[in-house]
Amino acid sequence: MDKKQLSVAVVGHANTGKTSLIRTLLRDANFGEIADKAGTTRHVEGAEIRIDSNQSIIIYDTPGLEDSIHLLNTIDQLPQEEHQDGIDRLLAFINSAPLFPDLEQEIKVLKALLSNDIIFYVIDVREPILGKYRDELKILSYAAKPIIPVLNFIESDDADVKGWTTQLARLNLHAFVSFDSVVFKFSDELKIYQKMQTLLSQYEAQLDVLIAQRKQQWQERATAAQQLIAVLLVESAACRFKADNDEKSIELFSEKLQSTMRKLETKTLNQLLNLYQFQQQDIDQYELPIQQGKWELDLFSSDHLQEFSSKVSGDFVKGAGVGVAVDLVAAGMTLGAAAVAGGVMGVLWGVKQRYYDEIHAKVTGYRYLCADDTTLQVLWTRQLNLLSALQQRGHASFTKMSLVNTTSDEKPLPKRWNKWLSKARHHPQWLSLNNSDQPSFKGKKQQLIDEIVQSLNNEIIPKDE
Amino acid sequence: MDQYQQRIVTEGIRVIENDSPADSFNADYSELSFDAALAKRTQLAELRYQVTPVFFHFKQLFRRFSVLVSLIFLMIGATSVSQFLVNNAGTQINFFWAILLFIVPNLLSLLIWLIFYFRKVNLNISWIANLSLSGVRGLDKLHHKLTSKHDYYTKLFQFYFDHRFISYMGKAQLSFISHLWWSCYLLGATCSLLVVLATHQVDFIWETTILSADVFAQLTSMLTLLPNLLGISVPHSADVTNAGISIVNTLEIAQANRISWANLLIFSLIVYGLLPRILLMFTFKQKIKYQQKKFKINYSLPYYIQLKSLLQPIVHHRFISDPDVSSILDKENSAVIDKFYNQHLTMPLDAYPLAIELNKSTLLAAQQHADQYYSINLTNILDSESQQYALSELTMSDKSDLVLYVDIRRAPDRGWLSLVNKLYYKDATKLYLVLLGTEPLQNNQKRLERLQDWLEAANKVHISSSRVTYIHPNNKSEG
Repeated sequence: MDKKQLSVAVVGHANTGKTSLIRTLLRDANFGEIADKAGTTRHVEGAEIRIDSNQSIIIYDTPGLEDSIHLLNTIDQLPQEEHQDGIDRLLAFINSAPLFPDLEQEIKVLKALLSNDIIFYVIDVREPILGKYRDELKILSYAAKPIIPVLNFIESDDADVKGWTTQLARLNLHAFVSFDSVVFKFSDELKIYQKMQTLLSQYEAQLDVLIAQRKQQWQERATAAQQLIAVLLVESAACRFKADNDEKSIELFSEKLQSTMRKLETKTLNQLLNLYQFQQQDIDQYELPIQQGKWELDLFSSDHLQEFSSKVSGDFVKGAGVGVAVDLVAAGMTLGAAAVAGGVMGVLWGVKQRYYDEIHAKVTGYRYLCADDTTLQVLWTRQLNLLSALQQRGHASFTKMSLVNTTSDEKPLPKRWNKWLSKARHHPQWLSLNNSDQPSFKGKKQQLIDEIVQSLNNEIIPKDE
Repeated sequence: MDQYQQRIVTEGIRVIENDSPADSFNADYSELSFDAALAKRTQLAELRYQVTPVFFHFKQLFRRFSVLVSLIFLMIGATSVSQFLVNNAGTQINFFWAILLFIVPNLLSLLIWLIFYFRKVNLNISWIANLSLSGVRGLDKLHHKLTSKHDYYTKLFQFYFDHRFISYMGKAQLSFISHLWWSCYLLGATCSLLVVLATHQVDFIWETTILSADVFAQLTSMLTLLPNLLGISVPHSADVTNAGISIVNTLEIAQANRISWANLLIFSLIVYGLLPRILLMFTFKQKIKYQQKKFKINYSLPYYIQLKSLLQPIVHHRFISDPDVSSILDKENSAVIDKFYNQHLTMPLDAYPLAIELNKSTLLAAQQHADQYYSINLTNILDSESQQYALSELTMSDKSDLVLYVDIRRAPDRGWLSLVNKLYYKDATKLYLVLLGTEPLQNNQKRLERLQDWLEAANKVHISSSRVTYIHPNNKSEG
């Protein structure tokens, strides 16, 4: 079966962000070359987006149409009676390419125009509306291919979106899309594909699959990112160190706490960057400001009591089970005493296992150091800011993301914030670095993570679709 | 390596990579499905991480431990018959005690197993995991096994234990082990009982102090229900009272009694004890195999989402379809350009001013500047038509020099160069370049870079930096 390929030529004047647009669509910061000057792209470079084994889309980056005035003059000077059709004129011009060495780059663009299914004409809306752009569009019209004008850099302060859309309308180009390859919006990307569908009905199904794939990838990434943030919050809140009640020990363990917290955040940060295919160089200073708080066990919190009662009954059953076996071996002569004793032993063992550390610390005057609420709030806000920045960052962006100056009160906290922290702080074993002997309750940890992810999904992160 | 093993190794690699996949196992994954690509990566990563030998080692250890405990239970079962069941003289078996010793604990443990098995929550046996880890470590140290020196030994053990005994296969695996051990215990007891009954002549008695004969009769009728249906010679519940009276019966009746009670005991042990356990054991063995076969990696984990981007990025492949050769020559020919422009340029008086691609506000600034020196209206070249017009005006002009006004913010391109080359309409024409801006250049890195682009472009069309200046509203010619 032949492979069904849809090809797109991305053309436009020099320095309008053609390569940037492609980088962002491909999530590939290494595609082509980007510089704030004309003539950066000199090859015609293609990238294949595979939809499945039989379908793909190829996007071609082309050099800028830098000398459209000269190009149009030259094409229009070809004998009209011989080349009435625009395509004929372009072909005739391409065939006489050796006569125009100064238009070598433009000839590459013309070849790309004729050999692809659709054309993205990229416009830098920060640029003044000049007559030469009309010349460019006139040349494009000779190719008789569907054109989608892509208004780039629309988020910029000096963007003249209205002026450009009016100008495009005068040239009969009403179906344009807005896109910013630096300040990225996923919904804008989808609009590009949807616009392609309207212009290329024969590729509608293929583009449908692509749109569905992109949506799925976007959703998967968002969920994975939320999971990473939730895990970070739970593990950071669970992180604690036992220190002697003297200054030296407290100082030592404070440093350990800070180092652990920073390690946890760095790990999450790297994972988030990987997830959205960015690199560490894309982010500026991110050292987390940490304050340590003193943690005390609240034996009578509702969560705690609930967990305690369930554990106690479990331990009782286990102990009693062993006791019953002993009773049976003793042929019932112990009259169930072993079962009762086993149950009691089970409970005592469970209590020791769960609370020995805390009670021992309380009796002997140790202190548990953990991150205080403000630190955790800053940590949380930083991750949300980072996620939001990553989701809105184009792969052609040069400016670094920064996490400095994040404050704890930047974002409203989720309703169950305090419950989450309390739950996590009661389970130091949820952070493997704590080396706790307590039962892991992995299921409970996952439950809490799921709850945080749910909350992130519902009340915290705005939808971009 | 079968599919399950390959997947479990993939999970092991996830544990080693600490949920952040390493971007160091590069291969061509583009034509593969994600499953196949992951399998290929696992093979490559396995060469470095060596997870399989560690998992194989754990598997062997657990198997040996399980076999050892099975043997112990077999021995306990075998010895318990002679120890607890048969009296010192080897002549009597207390039937009630036999049932209590083998059937009742078995049923009780089955009940407990059922309760645990159908509980929805996961088992919390992390302390067993820690205990096992210490034990396994100790054993490995004792035998100087290299596997214990694996960098991720502990992490891999925790994952393996969790996977096999807690989360994914925990219930099936523990059920299998529990049924295996009970089967061994009951098998030992059954075999031992057969040997005792084959080599000893024993009488079956019911002994009690507090229970009535009715209890025995009811128990016997329950136990004999099934063997009766199968036509096996077993005692009637009414025989309970005659069970221990071989002394008073005739030899034939006593022997028949012994055989029927022996039948009942063996039948009860096999059918009510051993057989269900063996059946359950094989059921769970199959279930483990089924679960292994059905084991699927959770691709929604952040690790695998990251891996998906790494192995199968959106771009399938990249290629250059129309390469550029002239850029290499351009780079070779590029000369070193003076970084400075003429801050105090004296404008030529006999010159023709031209604006190139200026917007309204910049054109106004250019016009104001040109008005100070020239009486000609400034032409703004924006498109083909205005270019033709400007060129024809120029050829008719008698001015020897040309002053070009451009916006510093715009990047000079080949179109500009081509236009400027056309503007050399006379051999002796000198071109001047006035860059228009809105603010001083100092501390504006972006503008300074653009200035450099303009100086390079000017150099290409033979406008030396001494004939280039920069003006902005605050300072007409910046110093």
